[in-house]
Amino acid sequence: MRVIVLLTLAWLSTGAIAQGARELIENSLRRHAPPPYVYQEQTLIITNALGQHTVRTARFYGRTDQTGAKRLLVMETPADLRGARIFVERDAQGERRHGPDPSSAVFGTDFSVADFEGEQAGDFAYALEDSQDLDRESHYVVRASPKNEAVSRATGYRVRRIFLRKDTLFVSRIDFLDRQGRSAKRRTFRDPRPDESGVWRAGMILTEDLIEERRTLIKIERRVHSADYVPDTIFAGLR
Amino acid sequence: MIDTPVSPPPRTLLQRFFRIGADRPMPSLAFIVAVSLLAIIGAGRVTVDSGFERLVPKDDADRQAYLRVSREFGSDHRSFVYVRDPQLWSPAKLQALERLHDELRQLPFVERIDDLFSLRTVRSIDGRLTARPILPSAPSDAQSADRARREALEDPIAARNIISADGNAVAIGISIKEQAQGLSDKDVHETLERVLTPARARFATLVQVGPPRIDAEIRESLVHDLRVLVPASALLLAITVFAFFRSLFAAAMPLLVACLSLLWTFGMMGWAGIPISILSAMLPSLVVVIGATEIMRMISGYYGGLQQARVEGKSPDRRRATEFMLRSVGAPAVLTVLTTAIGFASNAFAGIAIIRDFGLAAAFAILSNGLLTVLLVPMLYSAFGPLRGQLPAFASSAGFSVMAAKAFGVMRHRLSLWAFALAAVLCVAFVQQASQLHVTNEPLTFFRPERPLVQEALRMQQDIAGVKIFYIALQSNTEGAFRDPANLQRLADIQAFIAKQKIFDRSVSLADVVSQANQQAGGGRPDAYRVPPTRRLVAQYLLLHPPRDLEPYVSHDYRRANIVVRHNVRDSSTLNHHIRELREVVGHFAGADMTTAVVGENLMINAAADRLLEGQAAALAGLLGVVFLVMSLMFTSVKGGIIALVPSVVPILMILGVMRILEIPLNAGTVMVAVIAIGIAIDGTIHLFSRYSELCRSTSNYDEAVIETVKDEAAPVIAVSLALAMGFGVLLLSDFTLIAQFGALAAATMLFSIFANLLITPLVMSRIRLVGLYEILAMSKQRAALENSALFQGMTGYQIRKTILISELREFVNGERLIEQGTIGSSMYLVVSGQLEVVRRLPGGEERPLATLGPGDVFGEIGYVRATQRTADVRARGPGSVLLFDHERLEKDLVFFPHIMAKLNFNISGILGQRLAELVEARQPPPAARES
Repeated sequence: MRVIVLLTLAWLSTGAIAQGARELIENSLRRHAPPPYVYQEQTLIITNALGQHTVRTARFYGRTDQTGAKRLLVMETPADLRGARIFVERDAQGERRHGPDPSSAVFGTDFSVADFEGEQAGDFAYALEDSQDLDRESHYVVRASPKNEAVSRATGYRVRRIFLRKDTLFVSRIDFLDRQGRSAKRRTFRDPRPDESGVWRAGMILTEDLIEERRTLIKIERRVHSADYVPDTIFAGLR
Repeated sequence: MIDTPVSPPPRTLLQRFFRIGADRPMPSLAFIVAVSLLAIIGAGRVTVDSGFERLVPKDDADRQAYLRVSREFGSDHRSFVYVRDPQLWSPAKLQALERLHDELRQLPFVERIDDLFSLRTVRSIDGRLTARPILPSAPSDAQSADRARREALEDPIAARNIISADGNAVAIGISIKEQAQGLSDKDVHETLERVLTPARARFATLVQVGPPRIDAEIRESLVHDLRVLVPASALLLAITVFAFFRSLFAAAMPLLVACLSLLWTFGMMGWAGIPISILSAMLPSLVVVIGATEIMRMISGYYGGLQQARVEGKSPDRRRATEFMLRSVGAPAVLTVLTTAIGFASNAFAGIAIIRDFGLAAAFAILSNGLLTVLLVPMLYSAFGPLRGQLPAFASSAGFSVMAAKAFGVMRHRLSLWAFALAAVLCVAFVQQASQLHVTNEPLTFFRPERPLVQEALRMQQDIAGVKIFYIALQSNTEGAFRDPANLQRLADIQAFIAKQKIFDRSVSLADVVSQANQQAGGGRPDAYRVPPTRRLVAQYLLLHPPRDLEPYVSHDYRRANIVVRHNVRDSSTLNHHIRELREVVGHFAGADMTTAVVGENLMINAAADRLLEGQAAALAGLLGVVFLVMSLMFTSVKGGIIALVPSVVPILMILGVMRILEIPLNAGTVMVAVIAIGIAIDGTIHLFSRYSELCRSTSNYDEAVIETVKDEAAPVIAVSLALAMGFGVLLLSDFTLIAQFGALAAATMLFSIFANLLITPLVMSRIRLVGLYEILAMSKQRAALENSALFQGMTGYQIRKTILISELREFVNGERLIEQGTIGSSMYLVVSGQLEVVRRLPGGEERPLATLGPGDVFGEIGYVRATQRTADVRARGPGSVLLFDHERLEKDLVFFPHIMAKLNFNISGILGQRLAELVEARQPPPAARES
């Protein structure tokens, strides 16, 4: 009897922690949700294992309205890539998606289309791990696992460890684990600053391939949250 | 009259050196022990190096380009895991393959993995192009597995690159990091094996092929060779020596010397930082075999001493027998050791570390073996030598001698011209054949063809593609040059030429990456597999790939592109020829605005084959030069020097011809046969020449001297050559083809050298007369007396030497009669050393001394001018030597030197005039004349 009670308590407590992790993620997504209209001018700096840099520039357009969410990344330089684009669209319910394979690379960087689309919390199971300090800030560590193999195959994600600042629930770092549970890739969100609405936004996002020793840095050179910069017409004919 | 006491001639420096071991045993022993202790410490520092680096010359012009290209596009140091299974495309097998991929990916030294799970190609999914691995993950059901198989087989980049045409075999390419934290290829191989071993149970065939395995197997075979060849050589030697001498003591002697000289050699290698390499496996056998010949000659000398004592009815005495032994070693032994050592050391010119180091180690081994022989053998024999025993079978055997003399006699009398013609034709034919010899430095050819490693590499090549990789790098000055379709087309054109060459298995470049994407954009039509027409399309296709996919093919700024070529060419000559052709074509297609490089570790290794040949040609020429110089000096005859090359050159030409006929390539092992064989074969030549020279001193009939030489030397030459051939034959037990080939060829060379030494050389030799250097040196001691002799009045030094060389040096012992009263003679004599007395025998038996002669005096000059009856005896008073001038021969030999002949005749007439004057003066008192 005593064992049953203990097991029940243990199961309940696990569920509570799991629930807590999801809540943390959802809270974070809510608190740091992008504004409905986002225009960014980005510089992409790709560094290979030899330390050689490739620099590209791009424009990002994001628009969220009653029809759903649209994301568009358009290359500016180099000249022969100008106009190359990635467009992803999801309906408001998040059920229908249009766009390239989420696991495919974004313009030859270490970012995938899935990264570009943002966290789809419904596709993952979350579990809370022991907290950790990063840069002397205490962080929650949430373990995110694809709900099934199809999600894993579609997104290319396996297990991730998401580090959320305890004070702001800002995602400071994501470790991407490979099949063997090794940290294969690490993404850090740097230079966080509050925008005009007080929401924290990263000024730079660095993705490091820990195995192949490559890095991709996205630097947000300019950020405007205005409908004028993201007219619906810009997405016309992209489907 | 002057009486001189008879005393033994003073010992030369060389003789004193040979006696050190016997005369000063304790200091000699202390020296040997001290050096051996030092060697033991040094031997502990010896390392094993079976890496490929040592097969490439350090100053290779392509090395810098290779390092630059491999740093940029990834290492070509790649191992492959070859997997074959008829059920490979079942979900279970693919899952096992995926696990294997993951486990390999985790290894710290792995730079990248190229296989079904990592090779990303473009797919058209719902009308959108996306780049994804051929197998993003192992399919969970049979239907998905079938679909995946179909897609993989249809993929133009994967086909015959990582998957076989039937789909049942796949390759996992593992690029090894350049600086794998001090890990050797052996460590890499072992770690890979640890991962592969559990997976083997799941597949019909799962093997590792590539440099790490080759390296590991070289080490393994090296250990095998050392384990097998050392005891086999030692056993063979012990049996041979025991068979000759029927003495365990004699059998132990060369073993002891060989063990110590090997210890010294490995000690030296340790101290000098020379690692043990594949060629080091030959060292023990070489030292045992080569070193034993001189020891056997010395032991024969010892037994000769015992036999002599028995003949003289004395009790056997170790000291006296050792004296005999020491007499048997002389300048020829030293020359043999030196030429053999020079033969090995000349490999230092090869420019390739593995051969250079082997040459130096072997030269040291031969020298130390020679030193230890001189120190130990007389020392041990004088202290513990057996007191019973007989001359070795070969020394007393008449069979060989009679046979060789008969064969030579037949050749000389009936087939002389034919023999020359046949030898010349054979040489020309072999030279012609030798010019077509294949050269190879390819590591896989080190092994026997039936070895699993070689078979598996071949099987993988037949199924998929070769395990060897090289790069073709093109560099432009324009940023983004290789996003330009025109430049990508250049890559495609070069690849089309490679396909046309039909020598390399597969090539992949950036042109393939964009062509494959273009094909997918074109609905998968085969004709759409081509470089897209616009820069924009190229750029967009390239954006589909993450950087890691493109890293092997293009630099980050698209200025430099790389074509990865795979092959399994095992013959360096073929490879080098096609690479030269390819370089020209690449330069042509790339145009003047681009620089190009065709590089790869295996290309450098194979290119070193040319260096191998050049180095050995230089070494051969150098060694032949040394042999010519030494022999010319030793026998004071340029002709002698040239003839001495015959027994060296003929077997080499023969062996090169044999190599061509049997299609044995020139490689790091076989290329050394020539120089090493000369070094060893010259031993027989030196002994042959020495004997001939010795016989020439006592006869004016060169034909007789040659026949006698062949008779005397046939048995030892045949016995030693057979022993050497057997010794080299032991190398056939080696695990390495190149060592076995070396052994077989060296053995054959030894056998050919019997033919050259006993048949061809004597034929040529009988046409000249050899005078040993030591004879000239001996005369130089009496130089003043000779130069002041009336015979040489007014002659230059050169004229005197020339005249002396035409004469015969004849030694005499106390009481020997050089001229006998009443006989008819036509020779004139010049006293070189010692004293002689002129005595007239009167009727009734009384003797009247007429004169005493010393160095510089001439006698018998009247007989020289006109053959006449001798009127007095000339007898030796103690040992000495005279120069004998035969009228006919002098006239014949000096036909091209009329000035010398005129001066000589003038001086002889002066001497005759002097005699006449003396005779006239002496008419009053009782008649006295030296000769009438």
